Formats: sequence, C-alpha cells, structure tokens
Amino acid sequence: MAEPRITSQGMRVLNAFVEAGHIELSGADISQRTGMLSGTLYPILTRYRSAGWLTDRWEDDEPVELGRPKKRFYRMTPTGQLAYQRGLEKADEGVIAWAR
Amino acid sequence: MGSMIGALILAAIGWIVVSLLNTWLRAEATAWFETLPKWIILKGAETLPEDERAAAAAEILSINVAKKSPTARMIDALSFYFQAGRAARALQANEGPLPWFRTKREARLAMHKAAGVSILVIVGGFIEGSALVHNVFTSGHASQFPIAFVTMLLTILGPGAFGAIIIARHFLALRRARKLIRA
Repeated sequence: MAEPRITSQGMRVLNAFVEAGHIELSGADISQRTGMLSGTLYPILTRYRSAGWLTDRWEDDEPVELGRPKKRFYRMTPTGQLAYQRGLEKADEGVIAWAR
Repeated sequence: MGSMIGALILAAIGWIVVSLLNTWLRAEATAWFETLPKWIILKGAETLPEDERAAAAAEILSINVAKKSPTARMIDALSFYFQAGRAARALQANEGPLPWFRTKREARLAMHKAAGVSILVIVGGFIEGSALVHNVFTSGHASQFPIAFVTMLLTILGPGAFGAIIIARHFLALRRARKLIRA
C-alpha cells in the first residue's frame, strides 16, 4: 500500500501522541485532544494503521461489563515517529499548514 | 368568588398537565437523542465492507459516547455518516467490491435496464391513457374529460417518476463508483 500523504490534520493526530508522551490513546482521547470529528478522524486512523504508523488493540473487557462501547487504543510506531518528523520538516518548508 | 376559585383550580390543573407534557416530551426527546446518533453511525457503517462494519461502528460509537453534549454527538455521528464512509470506501475501492456494483459495467447495465423498463411503462401508460381519453370523447361523456386526462397523466407520471428516481440512484452510484476507482 502506498504511504499516506501527510496533511495538517494528520499532523494533528500524530502530534496528539507526541504531546501525550507516546502513551496509548483511544479514538475518543485523540478526538478530544485534536478536536476532530469522527468523520475526519476515522479515515486518518484507518490510513495510518494500514501504513504501520499506528498500532491498535481493543479493550479487553466486554461492553456489558464496561457499560459503554469497547475502546480501540492506538500507539504510535517508530515508523509513525519518522512520518511525524517528515511532517515537521514539511511544515517548516511551508508545504503543509501546520503549527504545534 | 366561586368563579375565581374555579379559575384557580383550572389553572392548577393546566399547570400540572403542562408539566407532565413537558416531562414526557423531554423524556421522549432524550430517548430519541440517545438512539439517533447510534442509528446514524450504524447506517454510516453499513456502507463499509462487511468485515469492517462491526469494528468501525464500535470504534465510532466509543468516540461518540465520550462527547458530553447531545448536539456534539449528533454532529459527530453525522460527520461519520457523510465523510468517513466515503473516505474509507475510497481506500478500499481497489480491494473490495463497491457498495452497489462490482464494476462500472454492472452499474451501466443496471441503469440501462432501469431506463428500458421505465420507457416501456411510460409508453404503455401513454397508450392506455390515450385510449381512455379517446373513449371518453367517443362515448359522449365529454364532461368526464378532466378526470380521464388526470388519470392519463397519473398513469404516465407515476411510473415515469418512479423510473426517474431509479435511474437517478443508479447514476449517483455509478458516479460514486467512478470517483472511488479514481481515489
């Protein structure tokens, strides 16, 4: 699969992981940190997961026990970190409109 | 004095009824607001490939329920319905089947079939309607002409509109298929 294009919105997602200290973040956490809606966030997460920039795992407990839908947790991979660095360079060059 | 007491009792009863109505309406509205975003998300997920639907719906629901405001939940659900499904389908356009048709050829064939059936029905309706109008005239019941004419129009326009809707849906699906293949 072709590598995803780094966009300003994609950088916001990757930056959420960097700012959180590379911990696992759920979709809800990312949405809250970036202020992005599901419609924008979901395709980005799908693309980055397929590209290996993010890894994912589902919450272990069942929704009945949790009393809410299961969360999917994401973690940034070293490849994702490299992509983030490339994004920073692109932002410095003015190729993408993004600032931390 | 008596009428004043009567008015007061009526006002109290009215107030109770309005309060009950208010409580009931709020409960109904809350229940709708609880179910509506979920329904929208599930509808949006339906457009995704079958093996991804459940995971996508669960993930979006988990993002959605974390939002506190019901309005934010609705906007979030709608954003998934309108954008995510389309974008995710675009990603899988070359790997999985398209939502309606596997190929552009299938889409075109379906559209031509719908157009053929519609034209046939419209022509049939026109011939039948014309015969009806003609019969009304020749039988000397000219006063019934407006009814016959409206019947003729309905016979033509009804299937015509139905056919047009089917063709439009097929056309939109074809356009979407093309867009996804290009993506």
